[in-house]
Amino acid sequence: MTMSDDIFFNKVRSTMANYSPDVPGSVYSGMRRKLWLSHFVRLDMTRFNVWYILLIGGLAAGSMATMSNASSEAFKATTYRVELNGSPLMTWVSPESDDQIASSTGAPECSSASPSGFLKTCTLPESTEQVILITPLIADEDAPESIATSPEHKSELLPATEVINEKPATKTPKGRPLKVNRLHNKN
Amino acid sequence: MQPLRSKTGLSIWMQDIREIIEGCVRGEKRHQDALYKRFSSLLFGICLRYTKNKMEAQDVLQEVFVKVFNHIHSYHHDGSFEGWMRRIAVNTSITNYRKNLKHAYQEDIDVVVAHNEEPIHMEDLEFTAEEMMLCIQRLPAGYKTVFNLYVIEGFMHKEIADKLGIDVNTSKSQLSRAKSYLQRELNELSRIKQKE
Repeated sequence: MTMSDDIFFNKVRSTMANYSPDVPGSVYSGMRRKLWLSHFVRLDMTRFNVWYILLIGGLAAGSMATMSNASSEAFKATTYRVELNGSPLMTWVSPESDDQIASSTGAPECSSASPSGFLKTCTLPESTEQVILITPLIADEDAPESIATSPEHKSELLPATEVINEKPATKTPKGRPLKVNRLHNKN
Repeated sequence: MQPLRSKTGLSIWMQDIREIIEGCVRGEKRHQDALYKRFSSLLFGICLRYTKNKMEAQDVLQEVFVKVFNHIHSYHHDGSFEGWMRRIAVNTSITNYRKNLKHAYQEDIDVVVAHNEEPIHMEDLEFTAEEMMLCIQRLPAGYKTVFNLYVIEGFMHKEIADKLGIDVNTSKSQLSRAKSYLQRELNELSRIKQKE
């Protein structure tokens, strides 16, 4: 006898009714993880979730960008000063605007800060900043004694001995070593 | 844990489940665990019927409980809570079936071959739920879904067609094929059992 549809279906239904197999323990932990994840990505003001992290991240990025801009502006306005043994050698003031650059293009007024003219103090027109310039010493091989025997040079260059000795490779634009070093070695 | 059948026991059960539900609405882990312990086996049985294997059923079961806990506030105690959970399990299983639809074509070809066999005589055959489950799981996904919805859940063909987005006649033909396929599988199983 072939089972009719109803008999067969009733047989299946009665067999499968309230079928409750054992659930592996790993399912629970997986379910907990998925539940946490679903809470984490859900827009819910009462829970710590991904939206809070995005908000915090956005605020942090915004503040970083603001700080970066501020430090960039501060860098532009920074005055750099190079000192040798405590005395300023040169000063560089970054211009804040193109107008300032334009107004600073006039010829500087210079005066000698040392008897030999080795150090000069220059003031740009319409500026209160003084810039100390170092005149490069280019030794002349034809008249070596002109510098070495000059008492003025001795008095000026002695305080700078240590610095000069740290960089003995200092050369003239032609590639010849400065005779200043030789002068200090003698003294 | 099975519900108590006596009148007093049933009332305790109902009171207990109401407390658990309210705890779950408040998001308390203790009550969520209690709910999981009480219904996980039953829902796992449903998930197994709609899936190919245990691994897939476990994934679906996890999804079911996530949905239950996330939407438990929408249950208003106006119907059977178990029925409400069953519906979530069935709907989640259907969603899972739709996700895996791309694999259905190959399986349908296999069934067409199997369908041309002789009618099966199945008098005096007895099967356990596990054996029946194994045979149901071997059904192609489309047939299995229609068979479960019609035979176990009690939906009509029109409702099944709406749920699965298929034609009513498709639902009817798939049920017929599912029945033939399942009878063949059960007959094969009974032969093996008789030999043993």
